[in-house]
This record gives sequence, structure tokens and C-alpha cells, in this order.
Amino acid sequence: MSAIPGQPAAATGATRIWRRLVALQARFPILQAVLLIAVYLYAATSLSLSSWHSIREILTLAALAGLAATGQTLLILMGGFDLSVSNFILASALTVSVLRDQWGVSYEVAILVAVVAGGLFGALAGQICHRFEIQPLIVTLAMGGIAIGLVQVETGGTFAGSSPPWLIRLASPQSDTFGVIGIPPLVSIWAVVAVLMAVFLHRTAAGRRVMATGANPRAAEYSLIRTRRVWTLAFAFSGVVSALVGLLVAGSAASVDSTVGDPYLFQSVVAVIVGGTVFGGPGDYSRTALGALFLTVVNFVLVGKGATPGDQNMIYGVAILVAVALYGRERRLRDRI
Amino acid sequence: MSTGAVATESPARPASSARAGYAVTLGLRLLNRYSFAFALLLTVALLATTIVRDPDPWSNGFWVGLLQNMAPMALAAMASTPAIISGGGGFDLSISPLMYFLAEVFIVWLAPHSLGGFASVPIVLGLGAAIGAFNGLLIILLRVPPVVATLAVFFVLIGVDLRMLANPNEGGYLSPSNWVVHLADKVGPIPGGVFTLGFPLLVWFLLGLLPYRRTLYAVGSNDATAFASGVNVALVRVVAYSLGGLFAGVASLALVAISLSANPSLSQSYTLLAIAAVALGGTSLWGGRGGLFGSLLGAASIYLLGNLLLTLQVDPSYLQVMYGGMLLVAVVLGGVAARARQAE
Repeated sequence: MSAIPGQPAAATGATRIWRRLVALQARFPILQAVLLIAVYLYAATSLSLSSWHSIREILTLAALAGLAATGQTLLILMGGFDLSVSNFILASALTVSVLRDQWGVSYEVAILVAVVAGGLFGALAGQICHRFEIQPLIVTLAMGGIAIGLVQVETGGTFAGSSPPWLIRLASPQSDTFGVIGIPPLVSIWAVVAVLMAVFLHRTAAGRRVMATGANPRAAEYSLIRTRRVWTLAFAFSGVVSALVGLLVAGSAASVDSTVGDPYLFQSVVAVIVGGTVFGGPGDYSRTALGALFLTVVNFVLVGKGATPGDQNMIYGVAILVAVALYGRERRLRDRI
Repeated sequence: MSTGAVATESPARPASSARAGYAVTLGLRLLNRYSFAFALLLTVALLATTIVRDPDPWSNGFWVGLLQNMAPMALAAMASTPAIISGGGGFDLSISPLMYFLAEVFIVWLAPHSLGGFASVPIVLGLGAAIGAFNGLLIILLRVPPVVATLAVFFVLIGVDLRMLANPNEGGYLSPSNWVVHLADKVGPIPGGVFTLGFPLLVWFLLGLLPYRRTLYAVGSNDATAFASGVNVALVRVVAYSLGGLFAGVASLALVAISLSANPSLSQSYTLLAIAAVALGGTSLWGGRGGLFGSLLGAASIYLLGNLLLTLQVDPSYLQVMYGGMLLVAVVLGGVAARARQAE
């Protein structure tokens, strides 16, 4: 440490501990974990959310939020952004409920259509963003609009349908995985996805390419990473994930209407950003998982306290601001000259 | 014979392709000089088609209706423009919920407290400008990406909108005798839309007489250079966001004038349209190029195209697809134009 004139040469004990804590917080989401435990303890004692029954509900909802944020995590790590999450979720949910009835096809076909369409729309968005250097926000906004519009054209404006019973069973917090293991199926799926994401991001070449593209696209290009392909595939991945989450959302909501996807756009953004993942990295899916858990527990507390959806929106907005102000600050203009 | 044919044809082919190439270059030059040229051509063509198809295009009602229905979208587009021009990924996602918030302020607070008269104009516009300035300050002081900061404000404002008017059927409607309805009709012989759409253009024109507008473009083109030349970049950006809020205030009045209500569940409805109009109007999404007039023309062409499709008995569901498609086409065209500019 260089001694700067006017500053004490040796840091006092308290500042040294503080610095160490700050460094530790930069590496691990300690603050988020402490907050999560604190909020949960509060919820468990004052709102009686300590029963296994309510823990299952919390975990299932957190799983939905966390799964919806899978693509968003990857994109934000890569320097992208996906504003089409809620629209893709709604489009996919409508495809397996309303359109399946209308077309008279099997569930497999409807799911295949939703997933392939999600992937193609995502891939197109990634291509356009990278090729023409356009902010992903704008392209995904357009893509989401087009996807919803196409489904609306196909359904003739109907935005209501019922979900198949097996999907409802799959997404229910009170059913067990394979009917045996005492964990809700969604939570098991989420756990598997979290492990796969961790392995992908840290133990595979493809994951390293995504991280490298986010850290410095030009440097990545010089190290022979085809960044356009990375962008295309990452956006396609996000589209596929949104379509799959759309199925689960259709199951958990039991019936589909035009608002079914709405919460998941901000939940996906908030989970990633509150977890401490920054645009272009560093970050991790485990942080997003923590963010999703935190978000869900806070949500339960808010609803328990009688908060309306409007209040929740406001609190999410403030949470994004606080988290970005803590983690995602840019360099000063005077340092960029 | 065959060689002769080749000989006569081969000089002709380069000449025609050169002519085509010249036309393309001329088009790009024109687009470079006047960024709104494309939107202008599109608007004129669509307006001509609309006039031809309309049974009574020279009646007063035709123009009044056109302007009043187009006004909220066009104003939302114009409100989004200054922040985009200010560069640095500048962007104000919160314009659409801000419009609904200000409209609700008008309906729920001002009108019942006998402030629904002309006193409401400075209040609504001032509140809009203040919230816009707040957005700008958030971005400058917290040094967070504008998209994320305004996304947070977007969520907060949607929450406030839902909160303020939980049930639009209870006190969510303005009395039809309020002065504001004239903005959707006529003020004397002049269509009300002229006033709402004219206000931002007038402000923009007046700013052109001051050094501010030129400074804004300098900041948008290259903020580091502008800063090094002694420009107060932070102030310029905060004023740009504040202008957006001010124009959103005008947009909210135009919105209330049409519907006499503000359904909070529609808070996000102008987000996509506004960006599409701005991009179509030739404003560069990377800042430093474009202007308010382009956004007005972009909005006009989107509105006219939608209107035309409706008169052609096209399923209204296709409109949503068309809006998204137009946004994509506009940003891709903008990207191609920017590349051509760089190549020159």
C-alpha cells in the first residue's frame, strides 16, 4: 500500500477489518446471504412461514423466478440484456394451452413449437444486436412484441386458457419429485439447472467464451472467439429458457391469461442484479439463485403485510437501483480521457 | 455476332450499375445530411395514400382526428429523443409510465381539487420536468447505465400508477367539460393537436437559438471530448432528461384529452412505440445525431401505417407484429446508415 501524503501511513484496526470485509463482499455475496437469513427469520417468527408447507411454497416460487433468470444471467454476464422474458413466457404459455386446443395437436408438438420458436426468435435477436451493433434492450423489446403479436393473431385475440393437469401437478409446490423424493419437482429441476450452470460457466470452454465476451468483446475477438456466434447462441438459449419457463408458469398459474408472464421480467432482472452480477461480469448463477430466494422471501413478507402488486413494483425498482449503485458503477468521465 | 452483343452490352451494364450506385450514394448522402429524410418520404407516401382512400379528406374532422390520435405516441417519441441524443447509452425507459403517472396526477389530484383549469399545465409540466431531472441525476450521480437506472424508475412509476388508481372505475374519469378536451378537438379554428405537438418543437427550436442544443450534440457524439473541451457534460445530460420529462407532461395532457382517463394497467403501452418512432425518425441510438422533427415523422409514419392497415380490414392483432417489425427495420436501417457513414 503506497503511503499517500495527508493520510495515516498505517491503517487502524477498524479500517483494516472494514477493507477486508469489502474485499470479501466483492468475492462472495455475504451481504445478500445475511439479509436473506434475517428476512426469513423475521418471516418465520412473525408471519409463521416456518412450516414445511410454506417453505415448499417459497422454494417453488423462488425456483420459478430463478429459472426465469437463467437466460438473463448468461446474457448480463455476456454484456447483453433480455427485455422479452415476460412476453416469451406468455407466448409459450398460450401456445401450450390455447393454441394446442385450437390446433388440436399433442402436448409434445405444442411444446416443441414453443421451444423452437423461442430459440429462433432469440437467435435472430442476438444476430441483429451483434451485426448492427444495436442495444439488446431495443431488439428484444421488438422481438417480444412480435412474438406476442403473432400468438395473438393466431388465437384471434383470446388470452385465456387452462393448463394441462400434468403441468399443474409438475408445478405444484405440494407434489413430490417422481412422487418419491420429498421435494417439489420444480425445486429439483432448479437445483439441477443451478449445478449445470455452474459447471457450464466455470468448467467448459463455451462458458469461458461467454465470460470473455462479456469482459472485453474486442479482446475476446482477438483471442479467436467468434463473439457473434456467442451472442447468437446466448440469446437463443435465453429464448428457449423463457419458452420452457412459460410451460412451468402455465402449470403453476393453473389457468393462462394475458398477465401470466408479467412478474417474470422484473423478477429475472432483480434476481440477477440483487445477486451482484454486473453487466459484462463478474458474476455467477449461484448469485442469481441467492437473489431469487431473497426476492421471493421479501415478496412473501410484503404480501403478508398486505402489499399490493403496485407496492411490489416500487420496491423492486428501488432494489435494482440500490444493487446497481453498490456493484455496477461506471468509471468517472474525467478518468476516461 | 455474339461477341458484338457482348461488346454492346458490357459497357451498358457498368453504366446502369453505376447509376444505381450513384442513386444509393445520393440516398445515403441525403440521409446523412437530413437524418429524417427516410421518415419524411414514408410519411408523405402514407399520408397521400390515406388522403386518397379517405372519403372526405379535406374536412376538418379528418385532420383533427389524425392529430389527436397521433399526439400521445408522437409526444412520447419526442420525449424519448433528447436523452437518446445525449449519448452514453442514454435512454429513458420511464417515459411511458411517467405519462400515465402525470395523467393520473391530473385526474386524481388536480381536477378534484379545482386545479383542473389552466393552472394544471405548469404543475403537470413542472412535475414531469422534475422527474426527468431526477432520472438524469440518478444516472450522473450513481454512475449507473441509463437503461438500468430508468428501468428501475420504470418499475417504480408503474407501481405508483397502479397504487394511485387501483380501480379506474372509481374516480378515474375526468368530467368531459374540462378544458383539456379541446386539445383533442379544436381551439378556435385550429386543431388541438397543433398545440400539443407544436410545444416540444417550439421548445426545441428556441433551444437551437441558445448554445445548449449544439452542446447536447457535442456531448452525444463524444462525451470525453466534450468534457475535455470544458463542457459541463453532467449538466447537459440532466437537462436532456429533464426536457424528456417536460415533453412527457405534454404527452400526458394529450392522453387525458383523448380518453379522459388513464388506465394504469396500460402504463407500458407507449414504450415500444416511442422507441420505434425515434429509431425510424433517423435519430442514432448511440447519440449525437437526429432530432425531434424526425421523431415526430417517425411516429406519424407508424400511426398512418397502422391506420391504413385498419382501413384495409387487416386483423388488428397484426398491428402489434407490425410495430415490433417496424422497430426492427428502423434500427437495422439506422445501423446500415451508420456503417455507411463510417466508411465515407
